[in-house]
Amino acid sequence: MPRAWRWGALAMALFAAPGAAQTVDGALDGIERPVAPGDPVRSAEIDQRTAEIGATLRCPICRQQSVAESSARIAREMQDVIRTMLMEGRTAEEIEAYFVEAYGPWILLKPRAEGMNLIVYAGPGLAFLLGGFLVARRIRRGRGRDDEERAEPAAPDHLRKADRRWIEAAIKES
Amino acid sequence: MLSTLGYASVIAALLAAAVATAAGGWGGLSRSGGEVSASLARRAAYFAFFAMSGGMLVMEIALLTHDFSVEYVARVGSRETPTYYTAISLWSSLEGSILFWGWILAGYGALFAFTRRREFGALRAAGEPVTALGGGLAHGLRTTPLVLGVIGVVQLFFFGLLAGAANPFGIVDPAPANGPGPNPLLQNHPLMGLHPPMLYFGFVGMTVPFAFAIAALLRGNVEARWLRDARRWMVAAWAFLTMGIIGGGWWSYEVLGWGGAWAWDPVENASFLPWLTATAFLHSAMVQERRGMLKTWNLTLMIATFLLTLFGTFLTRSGVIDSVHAFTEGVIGPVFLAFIAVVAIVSLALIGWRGNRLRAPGQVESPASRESAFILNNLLLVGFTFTVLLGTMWPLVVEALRGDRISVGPPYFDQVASPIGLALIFLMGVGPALPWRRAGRKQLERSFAWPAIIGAAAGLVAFALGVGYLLPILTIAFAAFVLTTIADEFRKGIAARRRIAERSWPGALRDLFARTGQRYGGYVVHVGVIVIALAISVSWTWKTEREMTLRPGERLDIKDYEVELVDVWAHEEPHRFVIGATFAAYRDGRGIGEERPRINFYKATGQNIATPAVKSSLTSDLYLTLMAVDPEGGDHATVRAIVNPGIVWLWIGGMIMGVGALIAIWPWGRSRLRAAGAELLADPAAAA
Repeated sequence: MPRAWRWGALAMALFAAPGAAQTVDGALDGIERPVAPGDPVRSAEIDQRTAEIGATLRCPICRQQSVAESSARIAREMQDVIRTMLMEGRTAEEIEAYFVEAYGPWILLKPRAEGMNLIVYAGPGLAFLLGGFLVARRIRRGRGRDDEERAEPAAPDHLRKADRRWIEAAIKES
Repeated sequence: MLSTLGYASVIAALLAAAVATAAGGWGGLSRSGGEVSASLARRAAYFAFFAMSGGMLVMEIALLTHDFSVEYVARVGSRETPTYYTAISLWSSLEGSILFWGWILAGYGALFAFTRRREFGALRAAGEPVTALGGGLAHGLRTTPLVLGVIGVVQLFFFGLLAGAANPFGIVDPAPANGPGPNPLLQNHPLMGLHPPMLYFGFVGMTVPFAFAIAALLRGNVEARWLRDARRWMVAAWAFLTMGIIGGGWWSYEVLGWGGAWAWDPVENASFLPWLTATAFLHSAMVQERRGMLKTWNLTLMIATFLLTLFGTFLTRSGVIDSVHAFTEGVIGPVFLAFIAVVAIVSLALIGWRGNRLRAPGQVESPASRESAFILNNLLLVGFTFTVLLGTMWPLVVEALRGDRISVGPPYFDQVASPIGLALIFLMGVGPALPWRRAGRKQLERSFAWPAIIGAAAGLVAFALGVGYLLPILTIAFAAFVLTTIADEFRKGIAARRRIAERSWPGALRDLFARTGQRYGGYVVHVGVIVIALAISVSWTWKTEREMTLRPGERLDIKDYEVELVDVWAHEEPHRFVIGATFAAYRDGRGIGEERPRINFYKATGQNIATPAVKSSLTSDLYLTLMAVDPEGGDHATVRAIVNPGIVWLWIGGMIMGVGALIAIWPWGRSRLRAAGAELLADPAAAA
């Protein structure tokens, strides 16, 4: 057991590679973070806002995980940055701008609604409007003619010559 | 040796697919001589399955015997990987996945052929003169070889991939002594053996409805039996897809360590898109069945579903999602894209050519009718599809056009999906209680008074109990509304059966399922969806999270739980090191057992993977992730604890959906093997 422990620790320290979403590459990097429950600097409100802002930022080495969710070291460091900035009294916009400055707009899990990105926000609405219009037209076209007796559409019940020959041949052959 | 054998199997399957395509096409489209080519196509379908099964078997043998001269084994195998994960590493990488895909595709083809094997025999046995048969029957008979032919075309593509660009049986010479083993994420939890096959069965299953659609377009006719059969296949594939998606969420919850099940990851979206269009089809098919409308639309949905399964595979397998530029590096991407383009163009051309023939005179007569509700449902589902597709593709579009990299992630999708989801739930309560054609004012009041009152009351109660957000309040109100209309439908249905057939309660319920399984099975599915919607909104609203560093004996308290660190430990397994911590968990002061979250370190790839420990209960889950341990081999550990209320109901809801789908396609009291031809002769209405 002690041998495995040493080997495991050594291997983790050596190879802990960033990459996969679930890499806890900070696993053995020291954990002397002050997170005792009574810690005065970690008020519940700051924690809450840190998590809220963290949820809108992408963990840079993960796949579709936010900074708030990820256990990767870089995500945890970014959370510390957010917390520190919040305690300095910066606003969410300022924090967001800081990370965009550092990483580019890619860091935002929800793209800014500006320029070309307006399409991704307006697109669904426009699609629903267009679809709704087409549906409404279809439904309205049918109104007011409800007394007419309309036959249910049916497949032609006479057998086409070609089909009859086909089936006759098939039955004979099988 | 194994390589040669496996490759030979693939080539044999490829030839069989070519025969099925030719014979099926000839049998379906020629003027005469149907049975010869139809039975040839059928045999080719059986043979393709036989050959692909051989290929699969060879690959499994190569994996399990660690034959590293086989390229795929050299890439995903290792002597240290446990046998279970070695066996399922068949779908841990591209080539093996395509092999598995091809095998399932061959299976579907053979199964379809098998269900149709008695058509002509039954006709002969019936002894009716051919001239007495309806035109619908002729179409049904001629559809069989055509469907086999279209499945053959799809098989040609996938078997061709296996013979060329995605050949899993390449030879490595000299063979390495060992391999790296599968991707660590894929050997970290036993659920990996369950949800990928489900997804594959769902994805590949969409080929059969697609083949029905193409056959119908080629024949220029869709009759009642065609629709019933196509829908049956669709329900089956849809059920697998549903299970696969829910199972994937479960896997991600149990493995990924962030305490959630769905992250709007492109891979997840890729499975969700065809699910949405398939769901749309299952609803609009009822309009066609009942009113004869929407034929072309339904064909379009079947084809779109198939295209989306291909597109999803392309997205996730070509690497394009990581970057547009990864696309050109692989061979698979362009080949897939070309196939998708060909299928799309041919399908569109067929719809343009035949669409008019299928146009039906039916009309929607009133906005307050069930057909309106179904059309609205389709609008929402297709709009949803478009939205998810747009969000998934948008980063690629921006990168391709401007070179910028942006992200579209969960916050965006949550925002756009919530109103659509709510509207769909609301419609689930409205649709079933509306009559076909038009509803009178009185009827509306009678149907909706109670559900509306109960829904509103539920919303108010939730608000009074302190639910502070609009979304969960609306979800709860709509859920109560929907459940009330569904309960009322069952009440009415059972009462009618009891009156007409003088049945007992359980007997009446069985009758409902047996006689109108589509409808009442569908209601059961709806109940499952409601359960899931409630689970999502509850777990989101009340999810609580805390992170602390503990020494042995220290406790972290969160909600009604407490966790105490017992010790930190480590051990070595052949393929990995495991470092873990044991926690004693308490709920309301009572011990609920030990939890052992771990960090697994995979030797071959050098990756660390945190494996959470989950304590589930019907009310809430305690979810522990080990974040860090003392590097000195010491005694303290940092743990993230999440209390997730009601999340178990996500999986339960998924199972309810599966049960509903099973009710809908269960061969109630009928012989599964009853010949289709005889059925049509006995029931001329079905042929009309």
